[in-house]
Amino acid sequence: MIEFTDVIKKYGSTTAIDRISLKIPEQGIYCLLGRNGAGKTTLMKLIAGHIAVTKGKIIVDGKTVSTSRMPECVNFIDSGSVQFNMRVSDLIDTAAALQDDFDRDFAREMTERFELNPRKKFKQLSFGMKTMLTTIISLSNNSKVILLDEPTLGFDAIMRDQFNTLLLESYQAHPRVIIVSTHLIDDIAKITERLIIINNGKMLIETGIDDLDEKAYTLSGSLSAITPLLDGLNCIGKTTMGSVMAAHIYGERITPPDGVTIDRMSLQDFFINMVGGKGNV
Amino acid sequence: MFNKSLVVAKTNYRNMKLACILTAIVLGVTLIQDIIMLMLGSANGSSYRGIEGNMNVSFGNYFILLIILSAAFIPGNFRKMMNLGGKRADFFNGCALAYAIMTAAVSLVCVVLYLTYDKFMVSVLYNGGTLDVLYWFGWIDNGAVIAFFQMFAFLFLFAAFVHTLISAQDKWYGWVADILIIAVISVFTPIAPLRASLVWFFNLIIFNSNAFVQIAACLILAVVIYSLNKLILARKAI
Repeated sequence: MIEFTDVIKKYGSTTAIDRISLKIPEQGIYCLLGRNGAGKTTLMKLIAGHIAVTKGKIIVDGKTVSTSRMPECVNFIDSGSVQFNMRVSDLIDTAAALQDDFDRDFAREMTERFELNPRKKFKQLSFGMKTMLTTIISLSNNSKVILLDEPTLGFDAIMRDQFNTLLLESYQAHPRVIIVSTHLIDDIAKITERLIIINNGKMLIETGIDDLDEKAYTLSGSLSAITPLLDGLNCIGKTTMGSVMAAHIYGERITPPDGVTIDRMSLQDFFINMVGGKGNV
Repeated sequence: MFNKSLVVAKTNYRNMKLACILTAIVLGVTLIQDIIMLMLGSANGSSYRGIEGNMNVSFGNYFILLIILSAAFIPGNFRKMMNLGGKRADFFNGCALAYAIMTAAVSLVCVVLYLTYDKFMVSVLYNGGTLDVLYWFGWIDNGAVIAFFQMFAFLFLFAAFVHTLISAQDKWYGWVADILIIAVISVFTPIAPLRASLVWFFNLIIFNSNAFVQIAACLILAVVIYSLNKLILARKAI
């Protein structure tokens, strides 16, 4: 469905995407993680053909992407994007008229569930509601590829939970590739199937959540018990407090010896250790 | 394809408030001025001797301001249209449709007002006549219908030119185009042989004695200039 081959994107002398090769062959909800400025939005814009690659090739649905040939099957709307100062209902109607596969009923249902006043104009909406409207417009499109950039920015906890439910409902109704970039890692972990982590424009990992549950774990115990175990393990981070150590491992599970406990690593901990937290080695 | 172009055109119209307000202010002020002048003239019973030879810009011509402002503002709608899931091709076609409808409407208004409002105002107030492009460019000499098409073709060319120039302003070639236009005008005007080519050009698109040549020249040039937007839009980041 989506294939990146040695893609480089530069803004002047800054390299936003650095030789990324990536394959997204099948439908699913993909979570795109990365720190601020890691290149998440750039990656999405490249898939949508909103910006041109500096080098390399992107193929979506069998066709090479460029700014002059934006893939018809991709829908990407930046969450922080500015909209016409029209009524919510008019914006949805306009989006429905401009897009081929727009699900008006789904948009209406989401508008009601999130208590978006259809008569309010865009500039009268709160920051979170503006994001919600843009997210609704994106998600109501039944294109083969949906790209959601920070779709829950400015949402409170209840809205985030509702959003996750609706994202799942939308996916179940219309299975397709949905790539969600977010900073709220543990929220998205509940619904995502695969994970893509980029850092400084480089691809760090592309893996399934199930695989991560199996391979990402934390060993805790005394310093003297843990240290010898680390030889031969892919330790992505460790924290030491006095004589106690917690080591974060990504790799095959081991059977811990006595005195060492093994715990599942949260997605957030995994992400922090992968991209460089304080305890990173 | 046409439906989406129509949606883009309608959305552009709905978001032309500033252009409409500015045009309405100018029209309103002009109308108030005309009414006051009429009242003053009627009140003193002076048979307008005090305003003999008085001239004013034709009321209808103020609507051209709407074309200028729209062509300056509409390119800025590109990103917002894309944010609603529009495609570049729809924006390209939709804007052309918006200008075609708008220039046709303004041309019609200009011709109708020239034949009605202006005629009335000339008879009672502006005895020096009105400054009207239909008259000064000689289009009305060909009859109202031909004059309408001549004005439409010229305004469409003008809108296409302004739209294209504004669209390119965020790229280097936009600035090069600005410099070239200024250079052509400032260099060609004082040098007689070059000035002749400028005169030939303006004779072709404005003062041509053959209305059909003028209409064809304007429309062909408009299509050529507006087509450049395809290249500009293809490279425009969202």
